[in-house]
Amino acid sequence: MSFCSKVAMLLPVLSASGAFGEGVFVNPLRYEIVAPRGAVHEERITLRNDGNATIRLRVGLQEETAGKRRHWIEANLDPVELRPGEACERAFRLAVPDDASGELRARVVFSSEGNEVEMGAMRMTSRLAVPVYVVISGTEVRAAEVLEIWECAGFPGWMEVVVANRGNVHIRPEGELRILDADGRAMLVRVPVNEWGYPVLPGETVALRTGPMRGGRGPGPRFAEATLKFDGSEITSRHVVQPLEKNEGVFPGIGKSP
Amino acid sequence: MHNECGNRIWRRAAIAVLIAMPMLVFDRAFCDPPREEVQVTAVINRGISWISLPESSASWSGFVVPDVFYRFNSNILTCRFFAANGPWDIRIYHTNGITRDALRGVAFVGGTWRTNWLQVKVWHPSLGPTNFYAEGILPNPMDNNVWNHALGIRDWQNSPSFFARQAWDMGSPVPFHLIVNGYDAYPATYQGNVFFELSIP
Repeated sequence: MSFCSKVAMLLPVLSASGAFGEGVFVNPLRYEIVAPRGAVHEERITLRNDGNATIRLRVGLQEETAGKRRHWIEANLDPVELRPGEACERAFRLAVPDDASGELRARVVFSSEGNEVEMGAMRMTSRLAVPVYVVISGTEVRAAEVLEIWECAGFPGWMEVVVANRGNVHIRPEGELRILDADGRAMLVRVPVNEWGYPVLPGETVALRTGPMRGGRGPGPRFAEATLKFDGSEITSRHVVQPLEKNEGVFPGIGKSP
Repeated sequence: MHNECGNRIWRRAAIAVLIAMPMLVFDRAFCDPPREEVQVTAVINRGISWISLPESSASWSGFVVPDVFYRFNSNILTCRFFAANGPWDIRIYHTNGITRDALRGVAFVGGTWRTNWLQVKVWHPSLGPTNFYAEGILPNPMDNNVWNHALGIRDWQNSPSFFARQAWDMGSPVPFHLIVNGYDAYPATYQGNVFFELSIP
């Protein structure tokens, strides 16, 4: 009984079909806001149906601020129905609590409705999200540390710089990595790090990918020096490059909890 | 005498006002701290994006190691998306932002009805054998690589799973594979929602 019902529960053969139609225009796709405690602010997101069928979107708010739950962001959560070519705006309003510090984060999400993929008892729904970051001015601490530099598993010629965010707001460290010889003097190659500005959230440790590297590889120990800039700060850190086997089992580019 | 005293007081008051007024004006104009305002510092525009879920059939199979754990695995599915600006994130949630909705089942256990919750996790085929069904090997939900995908935020029902975080890791289409860890699951019929989310973080 137990095994059978467990298998039955989850799921025989199922059928599926495309969900979020192509051509949903969402603008903007990200908000970063600096606001003092007590501030109240409103922004708008434009939605447009660029597909050729009517779509119905559910609207949700996903609060992501760690710790105490706060109701600092509000939006009209009524579903949106758009005919082909039709557009509308959906406002969200934020009110920064008087005792908040660091930053507040949330996502305004738009899910397809009535077009989900049924998988037996499980439904899969696709959605687009607009992240909202609110840095609370006067309370922010920006600090980061490079923990390790290693070769990227499964991506020969790429490196990863493991960055820990020690502050209380997100950062987007960008810069360059210099691979040095075994003496740590001559520079063999220089590559950009995190050109896309991927964020590292407070308390998070993320392996930031470099661009592809030509040269600078070979047997023996090597040094790497990372120089990263974010929000007017700069950190430089030198490490022995950790070989691939040290990095085995870690999915490239995945953020790792500290 | 009285008059003289009164005049002196008036004179002093007038002088004080004459000194204080320009100071007040100057203070208003130059010495007030600037009022803090809300600034929108970064906005990602040109947001034509879409995400679409598997277009092919999905199937599930169960796997059991007696007294250790149960697991349920889907076949490899594909997610297609277009993100107007990189880098992109795709996350899997058990919540739609309004309600939490992990797979839930009610079972009659020990004379009482109990609710049990199951978490759906994601596995990228690059982490294991690409043809695991042919090889008879199934991803283990207790594996570190799977747990790495479930970044704990508050609790597992809310925690998203990531299966790609940076634009240069993989482009669309992205193959993925869903796993349910049925360890300690009571026999019941489970149901719920899984949300696939595309964003430019």
